[in-house]
Amino acid sequence: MPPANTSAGNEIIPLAVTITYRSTKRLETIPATVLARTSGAMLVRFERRHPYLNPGDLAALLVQIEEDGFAVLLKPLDLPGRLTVDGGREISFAFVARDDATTRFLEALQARQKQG
Amino acid sequence: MTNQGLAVQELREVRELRGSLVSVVAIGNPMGSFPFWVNGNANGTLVLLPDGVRARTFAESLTADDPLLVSVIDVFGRLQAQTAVQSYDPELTELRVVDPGYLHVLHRRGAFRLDLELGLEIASLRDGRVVLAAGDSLDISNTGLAAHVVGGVEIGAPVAVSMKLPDGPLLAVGAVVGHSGERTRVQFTQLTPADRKRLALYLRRVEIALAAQGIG
Repeated sequence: MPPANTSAGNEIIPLAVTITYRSTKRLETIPATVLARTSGAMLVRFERRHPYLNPGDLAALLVQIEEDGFAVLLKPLDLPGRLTVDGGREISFAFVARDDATTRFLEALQARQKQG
Repeated sequence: MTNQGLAVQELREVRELRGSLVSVVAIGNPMGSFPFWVNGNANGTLVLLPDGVRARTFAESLTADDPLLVSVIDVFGRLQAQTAVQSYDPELTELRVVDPGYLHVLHRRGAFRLDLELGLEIASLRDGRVVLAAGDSLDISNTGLAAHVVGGVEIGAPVAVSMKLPDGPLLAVGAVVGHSGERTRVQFTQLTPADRKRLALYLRRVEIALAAQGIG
């Protein structure tokens, strides 16, 4: 499964999300934006603040779309990600599980695409 | 002891335990549990060999017909059978008990909850925003946990849970499935296969350590 990116993945209406990860000391949350996705991965943009993840570390996506809340476990694919010209960073994440929660999340993203 | 009504997959034959270490408790005796090796079973008798001085002293203290519980922890969970003392031979250091034939699953491993206090952090969604809270686990299984969470978490809320395992944090996502008093129950919905195994091994190690201390 190729990582999501704006050429290989499906671009979507940018969706504001929160990525939760474990820093060296505590759980932290960072606002981010989902830019594109495939069925197995998605491309996430961070502004100046981004998660300090090591290969093998996991993160969780917590997001509410319409009335539905989602929690999906993520594995970073291309650390440290791509530094953008405005100082942001784009990181691709793979979905760890192919379960109902991931499927419902992808369906919710799909629905937003159609609305757009 | 009767095993009537239990499905075949909930049983394990005692003869399969030959050479295994089992835990023996005298029912109603506060001395705790003691390790014994299963030497074999035949003609309605199960022969157990005490492992160590404490177990031997325990065996010497028993009298005929004393009720015992024999248990073992394996991949299925905790298996147990009730039996009774036949005799103890101090020369051969053999404890002979009534062969129960089978051990039945007392706690199925996937759902077995271990009372265990671990520091944890929970991130949950509340009105579309992520709220962080700290707490302590009250019990943990391979499929979820109960915790006292400062500030509480709404039922149905998707959560990310970071558990402080001795070998490093473990991140899981799940859903809050209920509250009971100060207990918040979380069911894990996503764990990596590696972390699922890591959690199971950790819980098993703790379970064995508690069993060796005669707790649980």
